[in-house]
Amino acid sequence: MKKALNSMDELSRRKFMWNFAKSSLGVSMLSLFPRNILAEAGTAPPKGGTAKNVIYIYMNGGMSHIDTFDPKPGSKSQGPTESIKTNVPGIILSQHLPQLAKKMDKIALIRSMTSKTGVHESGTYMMRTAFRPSGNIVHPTMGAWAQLALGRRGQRLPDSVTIGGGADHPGAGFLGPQFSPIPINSPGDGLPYSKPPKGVSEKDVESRMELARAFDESFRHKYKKNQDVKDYEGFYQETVDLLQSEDLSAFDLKKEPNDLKEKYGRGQLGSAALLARRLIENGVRFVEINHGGWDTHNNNFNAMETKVPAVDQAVGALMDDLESRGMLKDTLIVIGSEFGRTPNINVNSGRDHHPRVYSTFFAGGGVAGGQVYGESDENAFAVKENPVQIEDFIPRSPTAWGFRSISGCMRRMVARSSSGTKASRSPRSSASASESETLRKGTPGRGAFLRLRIDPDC
Amino acid sequence: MPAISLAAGRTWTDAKGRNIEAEFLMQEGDFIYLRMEGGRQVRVPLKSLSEADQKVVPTLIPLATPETIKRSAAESAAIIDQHLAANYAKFGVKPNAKLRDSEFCRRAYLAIGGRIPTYDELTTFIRSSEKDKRYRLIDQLLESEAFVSNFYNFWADTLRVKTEMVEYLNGAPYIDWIKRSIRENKPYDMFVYEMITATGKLWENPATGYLLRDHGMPLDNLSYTSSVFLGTDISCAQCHDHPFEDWTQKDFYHLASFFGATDTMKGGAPEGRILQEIASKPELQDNGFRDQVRDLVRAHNYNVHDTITNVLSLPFDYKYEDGKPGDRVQPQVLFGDDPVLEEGKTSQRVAVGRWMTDRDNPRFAKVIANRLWDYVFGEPQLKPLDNIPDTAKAENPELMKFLETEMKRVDFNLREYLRILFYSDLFQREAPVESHDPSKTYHFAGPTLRRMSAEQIWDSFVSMCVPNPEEQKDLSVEFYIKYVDMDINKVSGEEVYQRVKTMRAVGQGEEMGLGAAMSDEADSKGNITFKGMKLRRASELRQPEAPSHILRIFGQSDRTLIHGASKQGSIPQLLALMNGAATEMIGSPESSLYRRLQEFNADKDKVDVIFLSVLSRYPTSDERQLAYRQIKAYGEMGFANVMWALVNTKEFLFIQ
Repeated sequence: MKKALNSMDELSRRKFMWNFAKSSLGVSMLSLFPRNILAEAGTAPPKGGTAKNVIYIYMNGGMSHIDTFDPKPGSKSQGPTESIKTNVPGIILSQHLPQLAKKMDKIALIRSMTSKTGVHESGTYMMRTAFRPSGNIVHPTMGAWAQLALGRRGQRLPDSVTIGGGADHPGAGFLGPQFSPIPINSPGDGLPYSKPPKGVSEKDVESRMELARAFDESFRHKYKKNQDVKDYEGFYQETVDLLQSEDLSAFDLKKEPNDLKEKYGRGQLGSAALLARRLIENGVRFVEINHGGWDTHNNNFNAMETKVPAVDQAVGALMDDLESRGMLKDTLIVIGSEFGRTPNINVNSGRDHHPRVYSTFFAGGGVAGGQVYGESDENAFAVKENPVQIEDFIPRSPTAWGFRSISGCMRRMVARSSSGTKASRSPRSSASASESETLRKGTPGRGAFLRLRIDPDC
Repeated sequence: MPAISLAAGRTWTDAKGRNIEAEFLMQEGDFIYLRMEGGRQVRVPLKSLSEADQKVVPTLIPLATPETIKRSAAESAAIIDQHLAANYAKFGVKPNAKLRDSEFCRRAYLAIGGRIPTYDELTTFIRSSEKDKRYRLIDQLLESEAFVSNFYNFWADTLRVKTEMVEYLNGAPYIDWIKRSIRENKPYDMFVYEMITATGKLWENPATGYLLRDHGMPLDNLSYTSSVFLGTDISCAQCHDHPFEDWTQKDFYHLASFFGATDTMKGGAPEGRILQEIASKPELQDNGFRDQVRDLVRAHNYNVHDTITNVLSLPFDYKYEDGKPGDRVQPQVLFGDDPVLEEGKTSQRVAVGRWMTDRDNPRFAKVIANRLWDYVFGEPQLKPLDNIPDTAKAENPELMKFLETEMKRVDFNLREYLRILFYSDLFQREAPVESHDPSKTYHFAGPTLRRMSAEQIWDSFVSMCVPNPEEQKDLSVEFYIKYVDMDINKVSGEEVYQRVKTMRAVGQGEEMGLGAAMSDEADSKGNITFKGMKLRRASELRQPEAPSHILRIFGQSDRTLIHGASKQGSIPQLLALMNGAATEMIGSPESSLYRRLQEFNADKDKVDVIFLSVLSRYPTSDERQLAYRQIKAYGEMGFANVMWALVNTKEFLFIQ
């Protein structure tokens, strides 16, 4: 059996994946789906849910849960990081999160995330796609699913943008390039190279483009059945459309006032959060921010002293800013990471990889604040109550995207807020083992989960 | 030369009754190898022998084996083509046509040298009337500095090489060591063995960079080691029994135990003493200066060494019945015989290094042979590259077996192995026009159509702008070594202070302090830059480049994952080609392409130069007319427009 499964589950190289991802199985079938999905979803949409946009802040490297959202004062695992009270009695946070502590009534936490992989690459892949990396397919990320199920929102701006995602971001996976998020490397630079160099007019550019097209004719004709070449053709058209659009200024942080930039913080995360708001405001639906440096095998506590306050400042400012513009109720802010870090402090004053329990964060988008779902044990070592797997945190199937909000857990949080503490179970659900268990045990007062249809074969 | 006597000689008769006197060397498939008087070796189809001789063959004792037989690269390449032909026949595949000279030249330069040929390189090749000029070009490129640069990129992507290696430590010496190893053509088994077993400080023994790269993460390092060199991904077993393979978590720890006595940090650098000795210096009030002193001292804390005690034990959350958390684990290999550990004589790392790189290790030669096949032709024989299941079936099992044996026969001489692949007919075939159905096996009608890598794109730009691009070197290694190499326990604070001061004086202090990429001394001495970009090949720039650099936009790996590079398209890539400085610089009057253009008078010649320089081909008559029209409308700028248009074609980006 092991051997039989072998060939299906090997972690493979990207190139190989991409080739397979483009198999007819992936692309052609799914491109027929959207209508059906929407129709199907329409038959059983739970009420409520106001999220129309998502800002997913991804902490690359494995963010310490103990030093952020799940402190354990007095335990042997805590180390020098202290904890503070929040504006919700009974919920405490790390001392490095004073702003968020004052907004705890608008925040929901999961403290019982659990995963089986302690490897960055597969953990990150799962936190973006909800799937284990696999040898024969690349799965789409959430922004791409949203575009598939809900239709493209903007005329020219892309539906999703990834800030600092790196070269290995799965992007639209097998859905193909028309669903790809636009990657931005550095928020301050906005969309690089969107203007011609000095001395070259737009008219010149048009004439050059015409020329390039003519020169490319024979190659394009020869390789018209090659998918990679066709993909580039698609990007070319998108690029031309985008360049001719007024919406380009959405990428330009210079248009934001200085005092607001100060509020967000001048670092990478602050700028990225501000850019995310700007993009959402201009019609982008899904922004993923990647913020690295959490792989604190060495000197964890020094790192926490600067990294966590930057999160506090940027996310605090983002919540305020969205609220003052009336956008917070429509915009879900999510913080996730591939795993947490060991309660055990190693000889280098660091913490190592710890997938067994960690925390995630939600705010806005109709989330009912002031709640904590799940619990870790006294040393933040294992899940004590209500484990949440990654595949429950992020939907695995486009059917989930028939709803207006974004992800499994996120969706459930939303549902709870609008339908009170009682949520109903969708009749068509096919629950995973862990979720069924969660449901069976049920935790009154914490909000039983709304079921999403999860299609394991998708 | 004395004639070699044929001690085991006999008379061979072929099917037509002709006789030769020769020794039997060995049989390989349907062929036998014979050595004739004078030492000449021939490869004869078994079927061409008389029936009697065919029957004798199995009874003879071979004087050679496939791993010891002498053979030229061309002969080995011909055998590859025979194996391929067998599969063409078996699966009804029609091999693609051979490339024209200009197309071959472009492919060879990109595949071996990592960039497109310049106008002069291309025209020299096209005009040559030598019959074997394609093989000569392959040889010439394999011996060139361009190959070193290109093959370095392959290793940098595979080994996740970074300039900012770990906190306080600059990876320059390791980067330089990889390049030197390629230049000297260090046998691959030795290359790997040195990395696994190296001890000392980075600048004293730069092969220590392999373990230092993952300082603080020895178990992750081990997972990478197993994937890269043995094609066995055991990373799952780091935390639990592998769900689908037979590896258990205990297996992982057994293997890790070979590194359990190894530490990448020794500490002890007298930071306090040194800072105290120079406390009165006014510069020390400057935090930047102070940090730099500290960083220089702390680089000395990194020192790969083996201790007496193996500290490796099962993790505190170990949950299987074959051990308890905290149990010590004995070193044991994943497969094959456990190496003999001689107490006090061989370190455990030496033992595992020998086991891993042994030619009889069932995976070591196979994995690199397969990896380089994929590198050259775009698809592996066995997949996935980094996790080949025991049950995996190669596209062409006889060919894969042959490749593995060849790797051993050439004694892990990678340059020779690559030469064999490049000499094959397959390398000269056109890429298929259709993308192949990924649910089917690809049978290599030609190398696959691939977009250039980020490095190939950037290096091609550089070669259009800078004459002799391979001469633009990153000189930071020597500089860094001069700066950091000292007896840290004896050195005076004053000396450290002076070094930091010198360093800052040449404007490299800030970056140095973080162990970051250092620009080199040559910058102020005419190093070529354009709009802040250093016009050096990717291998001579920061590893990896900054995220905003065109290299990264086109998918250069961020060097966190094995083969993290990507060839996927994106809107920012096309924007960079349209509006970026890289395109602008080609059309600028200083570029070598533009200057070459000025040596011609007729528009016809100029248009030819541009097409040959960018696309490695002449324009068609329609294209020529279009170009003339541009030049007529825009004058001198028309040439720049044509260049712009050509680098903005897909034909430029894809290797046909």
